[in-house]
Amino acid sequence: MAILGNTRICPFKEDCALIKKIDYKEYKFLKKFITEQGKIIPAHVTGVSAKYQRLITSEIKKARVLALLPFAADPRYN
Amino acid sequence: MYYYETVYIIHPALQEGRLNDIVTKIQNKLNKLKGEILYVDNWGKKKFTYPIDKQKYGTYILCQYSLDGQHIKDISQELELNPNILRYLITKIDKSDIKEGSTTLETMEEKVKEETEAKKINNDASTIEPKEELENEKDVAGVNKTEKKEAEVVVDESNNK
Repeated sequence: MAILGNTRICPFKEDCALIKKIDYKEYKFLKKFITEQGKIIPAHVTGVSAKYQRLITSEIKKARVLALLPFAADPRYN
Repeated sequence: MYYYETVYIIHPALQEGRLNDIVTKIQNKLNKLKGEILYVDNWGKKKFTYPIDKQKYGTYILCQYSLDGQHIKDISQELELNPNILRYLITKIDKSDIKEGSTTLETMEEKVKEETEAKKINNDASTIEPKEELENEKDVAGVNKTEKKEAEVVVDESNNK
C-alpha cells in the first residue's frame, strides 16, 4: 500500500526466491523487518503483502524465543 | 510420522566433550522413541539479544528428525528438565525443508578447519582463473592477427597472379 503517495510493490512478489528466506533460522534477513528498537515494521511501510507479512511476524516471534532477535532492544545490554 | 525440527541452546560453560554428551543423550532419547535423525548442525557459540538465565552467550544446536506426534511431549520434557539447556524450540516442518548433510555432529574445530581449507581452495582458484582467461584472450587475439595476416597474404598473392 501507499505511504505518502509512493506505491510500493511487495518484495516477495518481485523475487520469489526471497520467500524461502522467511524463516526464523534466517534471522539476519528478518532483521530488515524490525526497527532498531526491535518492533515489527508494519506492512504498509515496507510494502510487504498481507500473505507474507503474516509469515514474517510468526517467524520473527519464533526467532525472539531463541534470543536471535530482540523483544525490545536494550541500549545498556552489550 | 511427521517431520520436526528442534533448536536448543546449551549453556556456554560446557565445552566440546560435555556438549557432545548432551547432544548424544538427546539423540539416544530420539532413537529410543523410534525417531530417525535426518540432519544435525552446530551453529556455534552465539551472543543472545537479551540475557537468558543471566547468560549472554550460548551454543545453538539444530536437529531435524522424524517422529510420531505422541512422543513430542517426551522430547520436550527431556529438553525442559535438562539444566544445561537454556532454551529450546520445536517446530513441525515439511519433508522439503529437510537439509541435506551429516547426521552426526561435527566438532567446531573440524568445521573451522574445513572452512579455512575451502577458503584456501577458493583463493587458489580465484588467483589461477583470471590468468588463464587472460592467456586465452591473448591467444584469441594472436590467432585473429595471424589469420588476418594470412588473409592479407592471400589477397596479395591473388593480386600478383
